[in-house]
Amino acid sequence: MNSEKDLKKQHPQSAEVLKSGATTTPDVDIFVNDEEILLVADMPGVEKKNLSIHVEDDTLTLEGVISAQFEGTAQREEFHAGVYRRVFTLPKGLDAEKTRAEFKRGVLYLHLPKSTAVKPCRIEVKAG
Amino acid sequence: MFRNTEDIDKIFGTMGFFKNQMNRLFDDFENERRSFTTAGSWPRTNFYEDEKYLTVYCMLPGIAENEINIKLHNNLLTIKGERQVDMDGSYTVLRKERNVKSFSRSFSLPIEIDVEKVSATLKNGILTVKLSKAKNEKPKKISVQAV
Repeated sequence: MNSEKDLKKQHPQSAEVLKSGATTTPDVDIFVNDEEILLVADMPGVEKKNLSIHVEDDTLTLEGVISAQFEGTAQREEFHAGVYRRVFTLPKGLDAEKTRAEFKRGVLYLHLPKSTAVKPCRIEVKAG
Repeated sequence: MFRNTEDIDKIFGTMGFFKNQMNRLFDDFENERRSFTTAGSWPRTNFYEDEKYLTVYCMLPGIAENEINIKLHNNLLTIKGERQVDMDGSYTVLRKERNVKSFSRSFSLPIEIDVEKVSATLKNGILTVKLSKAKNEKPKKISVQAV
């Protein structure tokens, strides 16, 4: 019943944003290996300088302004200029300081390395 | 029960009216849904037109210029290609939303195009195809003479 309240508590950032213009949700793939979590987001039409990646506590916010210009009058429109926005809750055990981002051909690759404390390690068993 | 056949006609007329209204409601609903889900139409494409050009904008994130194949034949514009996935095998997939399959879309163009003057550019994952309108497509003023 109070699940909505709980959700708001969990994701204070994901409350509805009042902003002018259309907001689009980018398509995202998430991969994980022993070293890192890799987030890949399709954000075509965004210039590197108009892309913002924000980490606060355990909340990751991706935002990008579509700066593509269309010439003439629209005959058919399947996408609009506007803003991409998506908010994620990060798991514990990431080394936020070492986060690395690449932006190539309208695709964002965000590498979130795991902190050394949670990396799996092999424990040798000694013969007694 | 009915005073005359006119009343019966009125009732059937009203029923017919409601039937049409309901059909329209369902049609609108279906149409809305078709344009809302874009699963069948990837990449998303915009068409813009001005006096000289018909410009096509395609959302193609993560695709290199040599992976796109554009063909214009008999006023049929085809854009196709394949998105390469360069992910090494050590990763486990947690979420998969991005379309990685090969894509192909064809558009039958409403106007005559000057095939010699077509240019295509790719910037930040958006493909722009500029199609120059053929000369005879430009509006021509016809003056009327008094006889």
